[in-house]
Amino acid sequence: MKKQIHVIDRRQFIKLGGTAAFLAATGGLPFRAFAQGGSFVVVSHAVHQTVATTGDGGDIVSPWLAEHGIGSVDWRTAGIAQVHETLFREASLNQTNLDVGYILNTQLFPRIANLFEPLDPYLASDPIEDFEDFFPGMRESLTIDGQIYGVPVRHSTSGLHWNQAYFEERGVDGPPETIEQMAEIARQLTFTRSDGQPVYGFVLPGSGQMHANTTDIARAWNGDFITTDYEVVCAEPPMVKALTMLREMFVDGVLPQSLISIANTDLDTWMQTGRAAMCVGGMGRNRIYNDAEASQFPGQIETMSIPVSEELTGQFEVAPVKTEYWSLVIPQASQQKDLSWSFIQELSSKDAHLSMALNGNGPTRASTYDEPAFNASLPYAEAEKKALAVARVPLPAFDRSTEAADIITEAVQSAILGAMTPQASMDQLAPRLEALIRG
Amino acid sequence: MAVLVPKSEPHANRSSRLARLVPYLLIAPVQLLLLVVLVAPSFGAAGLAFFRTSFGLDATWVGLENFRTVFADYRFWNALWNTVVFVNVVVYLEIFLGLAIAVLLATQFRLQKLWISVIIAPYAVSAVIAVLMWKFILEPDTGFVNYLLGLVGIEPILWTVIPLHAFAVVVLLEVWLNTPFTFLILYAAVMGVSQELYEAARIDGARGFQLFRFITLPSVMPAVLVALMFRYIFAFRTFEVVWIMTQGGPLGSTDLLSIYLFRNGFRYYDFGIAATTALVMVAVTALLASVYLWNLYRTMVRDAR
Repeated sequence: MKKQIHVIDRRQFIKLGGTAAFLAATGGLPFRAFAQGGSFVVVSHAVHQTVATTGDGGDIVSPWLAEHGIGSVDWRTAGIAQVHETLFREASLNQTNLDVGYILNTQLFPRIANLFEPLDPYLASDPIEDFEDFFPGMRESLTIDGQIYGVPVRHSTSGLHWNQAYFEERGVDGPPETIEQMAEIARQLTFTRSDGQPVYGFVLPGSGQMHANTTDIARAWNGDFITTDYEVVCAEPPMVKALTMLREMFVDGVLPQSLISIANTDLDTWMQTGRAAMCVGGMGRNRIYNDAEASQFPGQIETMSIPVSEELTGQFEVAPVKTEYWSLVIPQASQQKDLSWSFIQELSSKDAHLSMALNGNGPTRASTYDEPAFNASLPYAEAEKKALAVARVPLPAFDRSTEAADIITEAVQSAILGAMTPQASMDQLAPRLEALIRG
Repeated sequence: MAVLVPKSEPHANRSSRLARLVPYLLIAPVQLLLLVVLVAPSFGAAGLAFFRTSFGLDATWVGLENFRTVFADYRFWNALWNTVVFVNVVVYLEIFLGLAIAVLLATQFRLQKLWISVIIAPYAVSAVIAVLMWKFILEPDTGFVNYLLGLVGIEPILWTVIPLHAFAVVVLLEVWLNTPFTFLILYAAVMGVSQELYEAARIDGARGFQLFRFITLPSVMPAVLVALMFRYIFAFRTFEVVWIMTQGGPLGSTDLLSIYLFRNGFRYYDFGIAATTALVMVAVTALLASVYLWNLYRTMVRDAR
């Protein structure tokens, strides 16, 4: 049979276009009705969707959807910067179809908090199960002018990842107990493999988040660029010692020369292919490094807390490394806030946190670390619990914290590449940071 | 005395008025579209330069405060200096290469069409894809270029780590991507030079470089100026090549005004500062363009006399 082709003529096209324009203007198009009643919009990083919907812990979103008769969650996923840009832009509108957003701790400061719904009334009328169970530091930093604006849902806390195979091959006994030992071991682990592949003893991602990664090393001396009470301390001995150590490792070729162009995602490949023997990064990356399908060293990458310096051995069991966390927020311009709160409640329950943790999420509830299923699934659970007990954010949240992070990164690069001495670089940085905080 | 006016005259006047209006009515939709999508947003963006505004903040009139902030920022001056050097190096290199290749290919050359295709090929590649490709090629440990250098005993070069190297890399990338544009303009101009001029010059004893210096160059100069002006304007707003390759680093050595603007607008969400930077960029570009346009105008007037 001959296939009939329908051709729309000009008159039909104009009629159709006019009708569509009229319906759009009057809010009558079916898709608009669906967006408000049939789906639920969440802006997040892809990893948030993954840990909420796939893995050993199962899908925790589908039962909630079924309960509320919602077709699906429209996960609008993007990179970290784009997530925040979308969230802030949508939240600034008079109305948005965005229901829930994920926000990073560094981005939630007083000016931005104006865009989101204070959650105290919801917590009072329809509370989240055992809210005190969330790590207190996280709850405190989400409280602005006495109101809480977010519920912490995922953290990433740093650890030291090390390749056991290289330790054995190079005759190194066990992991380091102090940061000074770590530097020494890194020197022993810098070598060229029999296949010609150079191996670097230690890698620190230097592209993008260098301010945060450097903080991890400085925390071995309990150092900071800016303290949580907004004091600029970058030029003090702890940070200068950390930078001096990194500079020496760079000069000795222990740190790769391409350091400043290595992003966090590049580091995954470096560890998986054995180009790096040790590295610092979120403990959750242990799964990626040991992934049997992607890694050349499956099951051989161990993860531990970052060791403290010799001078702080008695004071800290492990270094007070950096932790960063994501929280769930409701934009003030959202159209179905009760439903948004219900979604947040669902993802914040103890059961949901355990499920998400089994899917690879860093849990923000202390009780999850007491769950046998979680401890059995996570080889570094104990190390993470120890680190979380003392961990703190790399930079406090303030209006110009992103700008501060960029300026710090430039100063750190200057110190490590040798354009300035660590002390001179930090001396120059301090007044610039002061100006950003006080300005 | 009464004047007899033909009855049909008012109708004729109306028709003629309508006829005069028709061209305006025909171009009105496009003009309206430009007004809505280009002119109005441009004025809106320019207006932002006089406000302090960001997400979660009501716009506040600050007068010239944003200009004071920008001009007091060491990173702005660093970006401006880098931009001026970058634009000049890139544009003159492109003009030199474009002209050299155009003159070479204008002579009888074997496989001429193939060579032209090869030369304009980079222009067909998306800038983003091209930069990512070069990023892999220049990777210090596993990149192809350092591998080749290693074969002849040269130590690996840290292309994006040493500030001067990084600057050179982004310059070369921009030149590689845009020389085809300059070449196309100049090739057409070179091909348009009358052969009679060359014949007359040869009769007068001119040879080789003299032919280029006294015949080709003056003949293609208007085209050179056009290419120069276009490339100055385009190079001034270079963004993706540098952002993908170095993000303005290391140590701010490849920070351009476009990156300074992007950071302020889309990382720090300081829309007032971003708009101010955009206005400065427009002003500098207009200033540069006006010099060349004036030069072009003078040449045209002189030729007309």
